[in-house]
Amino acid sequence: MKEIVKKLLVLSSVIVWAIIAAACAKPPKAELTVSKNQIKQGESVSVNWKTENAKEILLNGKAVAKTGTEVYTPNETTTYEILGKSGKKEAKDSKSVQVEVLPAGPTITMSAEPGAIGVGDQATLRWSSQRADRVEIPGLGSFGPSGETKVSPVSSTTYTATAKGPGGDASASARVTVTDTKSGGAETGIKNPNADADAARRFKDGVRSIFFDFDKSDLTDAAKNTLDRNSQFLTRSENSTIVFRVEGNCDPRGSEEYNLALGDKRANAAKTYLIGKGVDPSRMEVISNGKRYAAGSSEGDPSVIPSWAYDRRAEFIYLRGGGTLRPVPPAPPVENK
Amino acid sequence: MKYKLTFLFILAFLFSTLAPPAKIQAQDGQATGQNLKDKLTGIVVNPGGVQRLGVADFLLGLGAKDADTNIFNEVLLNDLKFAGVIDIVGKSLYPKKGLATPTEFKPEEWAADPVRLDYLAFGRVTGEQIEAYLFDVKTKDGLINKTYRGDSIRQVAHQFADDIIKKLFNIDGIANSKIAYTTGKDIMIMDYDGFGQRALVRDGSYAILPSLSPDGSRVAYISYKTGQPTIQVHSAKDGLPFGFASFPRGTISSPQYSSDGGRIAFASSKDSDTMEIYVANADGNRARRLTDNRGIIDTSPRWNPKTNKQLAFISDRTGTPQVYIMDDDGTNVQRVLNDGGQADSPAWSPDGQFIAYTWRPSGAGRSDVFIMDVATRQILQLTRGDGSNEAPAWAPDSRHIVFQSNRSGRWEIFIMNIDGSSEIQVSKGGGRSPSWSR
Repeated sequence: MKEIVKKLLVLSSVIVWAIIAAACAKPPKAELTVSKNQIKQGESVSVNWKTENAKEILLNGKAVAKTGTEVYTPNETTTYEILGKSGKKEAKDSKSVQVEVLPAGPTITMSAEPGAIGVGDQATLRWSSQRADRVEIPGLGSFGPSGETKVSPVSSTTYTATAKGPGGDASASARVTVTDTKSGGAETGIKNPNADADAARRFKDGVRSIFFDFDKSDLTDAAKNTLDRNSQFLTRSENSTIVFRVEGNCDPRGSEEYNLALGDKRANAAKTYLIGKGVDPSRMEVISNGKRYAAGSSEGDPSVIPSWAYDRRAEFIYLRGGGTLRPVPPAPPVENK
Repeated sequence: MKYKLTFLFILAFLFSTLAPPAKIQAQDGQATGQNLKDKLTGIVVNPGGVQRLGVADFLLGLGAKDADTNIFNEVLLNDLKFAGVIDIVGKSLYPKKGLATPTEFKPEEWAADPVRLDYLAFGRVTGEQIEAYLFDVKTKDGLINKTYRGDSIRQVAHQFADDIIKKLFNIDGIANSKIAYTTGKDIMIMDYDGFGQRALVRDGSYAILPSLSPDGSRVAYISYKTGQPTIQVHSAKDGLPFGFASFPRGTISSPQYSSDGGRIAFASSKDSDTMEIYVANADGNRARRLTDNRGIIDTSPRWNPKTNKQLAFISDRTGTPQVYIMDDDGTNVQRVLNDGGQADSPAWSPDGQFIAYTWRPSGAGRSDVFIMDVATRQILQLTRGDGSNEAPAWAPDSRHIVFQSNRSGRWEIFIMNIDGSSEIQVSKGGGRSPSWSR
């Protein structure tokens, strides 16, 4: 009997202790923070949590350590919840991260029909775009997302249409090649198969670079003399359809940005002078190379390559045209419908 | 403790502003007083500073590799030293090299001579996670008790370094920041300490002037891949392209996001015969022209990131490039430097207080990086010596500057403290035009 009493006593004290322990166990705590409440699609957010007195810890259902950090890149608005359990007791904390979904960018296709025309003929540009508010074609204007327009370029031209939408821009190009003969009509020019190559060679001999003083875009007397000779070549009838690019260059001193601006100013100074000498502005494209091609390490002289003096130049680059040995009279203007 | 420190900072700051005003010279040069030198040096805490942090070696736990633990310890120490916010006490003074858990931490031995710490960081690297602690040695309070997990041990070390700095000083650290730059053909990105260097955009043409958005999500740069220079925008995470407005004619340069990411400034000759400054929506649409000066270059726009209401820029209206500032509607143009020579590449600090720039005597083959205190217009030369030092840009914390130098014979990216101390080369294989962002 004594044995049973003893066992009962032990058992009951164990139960009492268990009850006391259970009652005294601290309730779990859980806390969760996020580095940003709002992000754009593609950005990351770090989720930090800490818990106390929890036996089992779940972050959105996944077992994790008591405290920690995870970095997520959610694609949609997401709620992060930390759940700390200790027996039947639970503690929760959650934070929501709003994800701003970026709109998809537009797409565009464009065609030219026919792709090759004679001088004075028309071609039709057709385009179709998705997720765009409007389509811009430099030189032609702003249009609806899908449409067409007639063009009648005098020389071969690549048209670039840019679709603009809430998700960004997209571009497509189509080229209209202008042949020297009127399509199906009488011959008005004689096409030499090597004519463009000849014109390019002629151009290279006839049009020379001009050089500038340090940090200057003013035309020196020597530069003006060169430009006078260049303009005589360019305004000759057999050269009058040549289209070319004026490229401004600088020596390596100074920042990339300032030199881009200085090269641009130099190329435009050359272009403005040539316009004054009768060269049509539509024949000239202008870009600046800044110090892209600068190779000098001391002043030197324009005739010395490499040198700073040679680096500081405006160069003339043949692009197209001049292939017709007998010039074609300019086409009458054609109205766009 | 934190408040005590903040108080000390404020005190130091007040003292520096109470110092006698700089001598203003009318024409031939700006005051280059000791004041600014002291102020800048006071911003960066050098060894012997007021507060002392110890970084005990993290110990090797179950499943961890020796190499990982070593990398973790090295990265954490470098980050905290470079942050320049607190004196990091040398490990040779420590009572023990490392400790893994708070039970091993005896505050008395870390408070005693010669180590005399205010704070101690320590912990353990295991195969799965890193357990990291920061204790206040004097109050014996645990300030950080955190478990980190991540794919990259370096990233975790950077995160803990930033957490310490945030906890002690409430400053957003730069340990996890990135630097974008160009090789001339490709747009590159790397961690601020030069690790993880990779090509973000393989452009292949002439790819220059990368500029990160302040949130670090995008990079804009100038590409010549169509023959004509254009602004290209790509994700700074995966390099995928975003759209940007294109303009039919002219040269374009210097894309720069406002600090709220909502607008972009750039320079272009799309409507004129010289470069002028524009501000547009972040996608390049609705471009508004801010400068309109026939025959004059206006370029290199840089926002005041503190307000987004002002821009610094370069103009050659006096005949040589000089630094000017204006409001974001193009009004209130002021020349801010009058030292002659050629001033170039302005960069406004994120806190709005300073403009870094490059300067060279007219015609010189090399430049140096300078800094100007916007409020007092005092200037200070930060770089010296071999090679040319150019194209400064700011760290997001306003306490560090990144720039390019060809001192080794090739352009590379360097970082330094705001007072010009602690120059470190961070790029390998060539780099120009750095941009630093979170």
